[in-house]
Amino acid sequence: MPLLDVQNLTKLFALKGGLFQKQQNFVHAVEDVSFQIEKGESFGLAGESGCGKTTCGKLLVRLIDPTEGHIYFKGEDIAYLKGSALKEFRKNVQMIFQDPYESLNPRFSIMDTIAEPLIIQDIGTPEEREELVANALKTVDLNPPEDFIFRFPHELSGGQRQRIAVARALVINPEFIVADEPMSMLDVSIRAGVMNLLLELKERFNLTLVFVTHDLAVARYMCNRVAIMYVGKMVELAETEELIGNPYHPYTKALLSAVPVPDPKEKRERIELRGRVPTPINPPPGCRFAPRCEYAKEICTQQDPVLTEVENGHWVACFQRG
Amino acid sequence: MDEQKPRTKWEARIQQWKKSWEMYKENKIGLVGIGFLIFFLVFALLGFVMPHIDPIYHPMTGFDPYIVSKSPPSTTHLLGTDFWGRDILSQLMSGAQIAFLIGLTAAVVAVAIGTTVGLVSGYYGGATDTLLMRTVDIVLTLPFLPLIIVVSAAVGKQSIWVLVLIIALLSWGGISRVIRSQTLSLKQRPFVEAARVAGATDARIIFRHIGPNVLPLSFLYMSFLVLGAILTEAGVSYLGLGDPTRVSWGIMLQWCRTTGSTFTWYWMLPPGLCITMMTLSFYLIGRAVDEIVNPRLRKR
Repeated sequence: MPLLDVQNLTKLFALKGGLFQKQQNFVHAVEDVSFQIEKGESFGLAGESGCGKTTCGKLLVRLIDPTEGHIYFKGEDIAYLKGSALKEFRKNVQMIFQDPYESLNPRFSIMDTIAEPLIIQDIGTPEEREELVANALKTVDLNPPEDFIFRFPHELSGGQRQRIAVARALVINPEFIVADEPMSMLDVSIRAGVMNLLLELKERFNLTLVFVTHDLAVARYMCNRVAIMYVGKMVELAETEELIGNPYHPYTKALLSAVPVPDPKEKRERIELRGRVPTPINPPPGCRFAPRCEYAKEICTQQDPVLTEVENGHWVACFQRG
Repeated sequence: MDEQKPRTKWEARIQQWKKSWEMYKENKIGLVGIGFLIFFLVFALLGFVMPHIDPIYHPMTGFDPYIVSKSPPSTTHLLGTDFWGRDILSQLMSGAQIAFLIGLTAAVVAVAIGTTVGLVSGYYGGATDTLLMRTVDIVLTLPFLPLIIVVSAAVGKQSIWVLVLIIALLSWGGISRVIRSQTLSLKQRPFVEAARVAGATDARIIFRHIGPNVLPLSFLYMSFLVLGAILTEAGVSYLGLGDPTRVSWGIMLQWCRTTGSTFTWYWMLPPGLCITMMTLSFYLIGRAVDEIVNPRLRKR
């Protein structure tokens, strides 16, 4: 049984209409997305800004409520939990946010910040919590812990803050962590450090990571499997190396061709896409990518392509299969 | 950083306060404000001592048996006496007590209501927000003087607490707007989402995560509310709608006017100056706090 089994997950955001507007408009942030994540896996959600990858990550930790669909966590549907059942579920999940300057409460000392999940979930006595916080600081390589424990976020650097955010995510021993582009706000020089730390901790605690990113290079380094999203839909899902070496979907191909190659002599065919990313407000039927796709046929604008397995473990949502 | 690393929670807190004080100290105007405030505080406390030195220094009942009319400053009465032979200096001290009492209680009540309404309104949004903000519209447009006349008539006696209550209930509107707008921005911040992922309740997020972040702003508005409350009490008392059983600066001015002594400098000037200086001190403190809360205002 997979740790997470996501089925037909959909999130629509209602737009405020004008007084005389009859039709209610929706932003189709995530639409009909299904996938499974095994325990101990590092799963990447990749795509452009606004493709719904962050929304998808937030749905998994129930930061926002899904419109439709199911999320089975260890066989239990957690998509519509409420109250104490939801709070119980929250012991198993944590999230790491993009901007370490915004994700730490500026009025909380490091102790307060990291102990917050423990206090909310009512774990341990104050002395035990202090011990747990010190241990969490050690695991994210902030040594010695007593140098940091009563500091405030504004006294720390960006990399240190992101480590604090990781420590906060780890302190209650969650089963899986959703990391929403935790590297993108960090300096390139400290990015590798945080990435290696996450991978190391994933091995050590047998964590399951859902990694939201727009950077395919980061996804390649961090993830076992990657799913590519485009305007709320999942277009391709495969093992990382398979996806990068053998992409099927025209959108994935275009994305990969945009990744710079560290060799000035190598000439590579660059796929330039026509037009722009369409708006996710009330999209027309058919493949979302059809208006920009050079292989588009009539069927592409009439029916929704379904994510189907074309090779072992390689799923694509395209009528032309590339 | 060359400072000592804090070893306990309290050391960390004290260090934070020290830092804020260092920042405040930079502002000379703010120091002047604090200076005035300490002066008035001592002044108000001395007022409790005066009647014990000699009963003729009681601000209300201390009629000097040897003086039958207003008298200029003398050795027994350093600032002179009023129409009935009561010591003006001790009346001023009593006035300072009333000013602190009214200013601080009205401001604390107003800030408490305003901050809570702002937090709840901003956090929940939707129908709650609309309801609360329309209430604020009403509060902001209620006319003050007609209301106090009507309420005084309805209550039947003019009490200082009725005044405090009315001032408090009419002055929380502006602050709730400010706190609401701050809350609207704070509730979108990832640290609030992080708390929610951990399972924090709405109440915990409002009072533990968002509340402390808007508190400096509340304090800032509190100093301006204190100022407003003192001025309002003085104005209302001058018009004869104050509490006649306590000597406040406004009441002193009213007595001064009704006995036809408007141009008696030693009677009219001191309460007027006191009102000005005390409100000024709160204004200066407010300005200094404003510079800490809004770093954009800081001079480089």
